[in-house]
Amino acid sequence: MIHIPNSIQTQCELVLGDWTSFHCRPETVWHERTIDFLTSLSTEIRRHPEAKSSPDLMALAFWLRKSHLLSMRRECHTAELSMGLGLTFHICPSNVPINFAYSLAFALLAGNSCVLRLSSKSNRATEIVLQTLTVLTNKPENFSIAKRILLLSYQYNDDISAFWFSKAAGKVIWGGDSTINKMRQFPTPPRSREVAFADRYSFCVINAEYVLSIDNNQLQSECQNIFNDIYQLDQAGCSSPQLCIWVGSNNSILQAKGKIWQNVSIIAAKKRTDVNDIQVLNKFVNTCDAIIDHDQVTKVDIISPQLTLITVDKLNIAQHQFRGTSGQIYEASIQSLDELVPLINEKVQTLSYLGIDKYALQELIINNNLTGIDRIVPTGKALNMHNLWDGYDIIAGLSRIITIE
Amino acid sequence: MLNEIKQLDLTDWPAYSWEKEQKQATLLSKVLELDAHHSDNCPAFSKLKSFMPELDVVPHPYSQLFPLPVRLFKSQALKSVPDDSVIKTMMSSGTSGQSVSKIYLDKETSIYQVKVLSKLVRNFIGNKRLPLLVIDCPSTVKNRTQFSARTAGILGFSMYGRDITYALNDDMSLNLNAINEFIETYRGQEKFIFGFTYIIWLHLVEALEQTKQTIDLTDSTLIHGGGWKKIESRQISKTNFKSRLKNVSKIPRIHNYYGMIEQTGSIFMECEQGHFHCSSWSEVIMRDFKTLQPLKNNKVGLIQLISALPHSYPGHSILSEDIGIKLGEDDCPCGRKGTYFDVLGRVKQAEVRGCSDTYSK
Repeated sequence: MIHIPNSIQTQCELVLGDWTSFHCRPETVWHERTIDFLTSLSTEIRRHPEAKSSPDLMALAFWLRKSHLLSMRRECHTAELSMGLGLTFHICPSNVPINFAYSLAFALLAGNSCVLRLSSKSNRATEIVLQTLTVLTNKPENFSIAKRILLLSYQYNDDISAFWFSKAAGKVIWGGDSTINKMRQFPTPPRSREVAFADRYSFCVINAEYVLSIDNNQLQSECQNIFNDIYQLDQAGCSSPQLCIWVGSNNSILQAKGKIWQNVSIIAAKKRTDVNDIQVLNKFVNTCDAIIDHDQVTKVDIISPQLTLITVDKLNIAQHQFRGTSGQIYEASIQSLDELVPLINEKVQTLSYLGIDKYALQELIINNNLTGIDRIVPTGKALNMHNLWDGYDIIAGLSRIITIE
Repeated sequence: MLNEIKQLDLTDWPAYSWEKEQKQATLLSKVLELDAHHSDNCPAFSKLKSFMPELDVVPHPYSQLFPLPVRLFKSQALKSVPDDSVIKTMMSSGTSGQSVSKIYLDKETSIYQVKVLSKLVRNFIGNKRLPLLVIDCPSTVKNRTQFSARTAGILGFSMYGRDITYALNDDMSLNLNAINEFIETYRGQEKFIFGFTYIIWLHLVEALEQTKQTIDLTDSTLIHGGGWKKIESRQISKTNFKSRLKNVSKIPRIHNYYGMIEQTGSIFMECEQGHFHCSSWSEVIMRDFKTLQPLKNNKVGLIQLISALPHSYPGHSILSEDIGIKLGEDDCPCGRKGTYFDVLGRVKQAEVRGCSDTYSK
């Protein structure tokens, strides 16, 4: 049990959970009961009439499937015995509100109790997950899990944050760099662990020759993958690609770009008919600012309301400052992978590749002693949330290993 | 004849009497001249011109003018004259933490602004300087450390009036004594009233309605502007605004104007028919929200505003975040020539942008 002062209770809006029964006794990691609970969450989300029209919901439900959870368990290092830490406190992201569900799932799977401060920004998908969770946690078979969850909503309030951090055996902070720095100022218990998802930058690398070598069916499916990476979160995620780097001769790059973007824009025109007026305007404004602020822009193509391409001449670290949303992609050409090196620092999270040898990318990290790139994944998987994320083993980070000899 | 017009100083252009062909030829030649000047003297603008692709698929008379997004006046320092030519920098409002627009004025631009505004206002209130009632508080203009668009607006319009009376106290409460004294002193004479839309609504109309009082401002013309954003939540229509204002004040002639601080001077006055009018110094083009292509009449789109005045900064062709509809050209029943249009609101979720204020509730 944990004593939660009245002053804290009254200042928080309790979205889900129960102040009096909430407890923070740890359980073993990957507990069957937790897996079953998340599996039923997956089933219920998929049953929701609006699920099919929401890529966010479908992705979450797919991710929470039992088979996927089990495969993730197999891929993770498991000690003989691992237990949760106790109470984890989460500052959830506002750029991708649905990620609160992943944050919750990881901490539960790690055997913890979870207090989440939800972002004030919500969307329909988030509401549906919250409704579904409410229904599930009210079922008697889930009472023991329900006692490990408190979902809160409150305006930024130092007293409330300070209270939860002071009790947190683990803290999970999603946020911009400034949020993370601010949250680190709150004292936590000496052995408290931290998993912090800072602002990251992601890009993709495409082999032009490969694009020219594949047949039309293959091309279509590759373009669908690139579309998913860019548009599923409208480039708002840290793993969403901001930059597309083409490898090859000038001539093959020119042809490959034509093939890829033509198809991606056709898919986008079909699937993103709902692009907002403000998204189009924001892209236009952002593109103008980029032309003025960026020293290396050589070309701008406004392909469609869904897609704007900005070609830059040289790659350097300053490129990280230039971000797009809703289909605004920077492009550059290189002849060899070594030319990526000046672009990479600790900010780089996901490198997605198409037609490139992943071991060559691995070598690049080793041989150049790189501080960045935490994920090397094929295009189409840039947004696939995994326990191994942002350079962390999240579940290991939120649990303790017990050695028994 | 066109050549003769080209020789005319732009401040000698007639406000609303040129027909389409004449106006387009004159305005276009002036703004293209400005466009070349900005390309030569504003590096940021020149970069935009060289890298932005041609937008219009089907050429339009004003296609050569890039619609510069208005937000760029916040993110960039856009200037086409040397620093020592800048005599004044105007700032748009910045409500809590938002960045502000910075407009750099040289002597030429600010003279043009004053002269053109004067021609437009005189078209509505006549050539005589009339007794002026400002619906605002005196401290707005006294406090020059905060030279806001509101201060600039009041000072700008004050030039067309005389014997200025302020209708509000410094705490924004109604100064009925001052108003009644103004009415008494100038009874039977033509009077001019100026104020910002939201201030008139909140501190005159609602204040009078609440206390069930009325004032008698017959024989006057009111001009108001500055945007509707601050009273958006009250959902007042244009006609509603007029009728309730008339009920409490008996003001017979009420004219709204549309314009932005980025194009001070060449404002769009609302005529007796309730439509905003382009003058010889201005034009509007509605652009499709998704494709940004120019639209035909009676189609709703983003408003691009053309002005012949900005010399010291590249504000001669601006893409606003306002939504409008072009209703016609040269055939408004009010008799004024030129394009006339309506403003319907702002693009949803646009970065919140103030128009006129340092005062907020």
